[in-house]
Amino acid sequence: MIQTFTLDDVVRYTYEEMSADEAHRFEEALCLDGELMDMFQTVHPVKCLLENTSVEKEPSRQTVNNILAYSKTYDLRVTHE
Amino acid sequence: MKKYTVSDSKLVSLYKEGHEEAFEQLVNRHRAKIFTAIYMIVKDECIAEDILQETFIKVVNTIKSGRYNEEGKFLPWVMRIAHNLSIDHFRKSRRYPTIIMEDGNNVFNTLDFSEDSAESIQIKKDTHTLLRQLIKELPESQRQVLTMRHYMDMSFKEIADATGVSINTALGRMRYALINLRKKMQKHNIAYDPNIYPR
Repeated sequence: MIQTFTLDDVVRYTYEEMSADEAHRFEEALCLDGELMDMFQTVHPVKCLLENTSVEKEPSRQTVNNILAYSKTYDLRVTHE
Repeated sequence: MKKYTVSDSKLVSLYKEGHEEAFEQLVNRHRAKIFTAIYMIVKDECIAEDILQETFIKVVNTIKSGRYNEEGKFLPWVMRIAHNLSIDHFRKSRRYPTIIMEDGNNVFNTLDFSEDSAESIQIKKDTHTLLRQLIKELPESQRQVLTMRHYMDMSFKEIADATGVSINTALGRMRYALINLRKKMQKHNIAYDPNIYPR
């Protein structure tokens, strides 16, 4: 029997929040259910576009060095406290 | 999401055994994502740098004192710390956080698309700018879920918990956010082209 999926499940599938088994069952349902397929074809390109045009900002090297230095001196600090 | 040869959990294990270079790898691997997420909330570079440091101080203290929960995933855990500290910052300064992307600031001016042609770099820049504008036009609840998922790497369960709604409500909001964004994209003739934005 083919499992029934909702339109919100399309979002879970698109964002890879299904187990491999569930994703496999979903893909079977997708082939048979036009409404699910329409939704997938609507949301998937938007998700791809958002992922591939997102830009990350870098912290300063000084901040990163401070973090690494804190870690390296943690044991010394704990011993002294 | 990027796939790495050495998993985060392996690096955390190595770090617990005293390998500082494993921690350095974790920091270098995730610093930009975490910093960007903090910046999206506080919108001040200096404050974001401070909160990033504070976040990793908590990470170091928790892992080195043996209180890190192995069952959780590293990045979502750090993101939660960063998110909570960013929200705390607003509570302290009595301002309410709105996770929005403003036009006109210089956050996204230093794009790094070194592997692309000049033309595709320009297309990406233009698309990115327009997408940010279109995201701003979404209703607050939809924009919040979309931002948390795409820029803070939170799962829908984590978003549901953070916003006090059911997971189905979070999924529904995301679905409508994507549908609305798609409609707006069509109005502006933005299309997903796998040749420009490869998967």
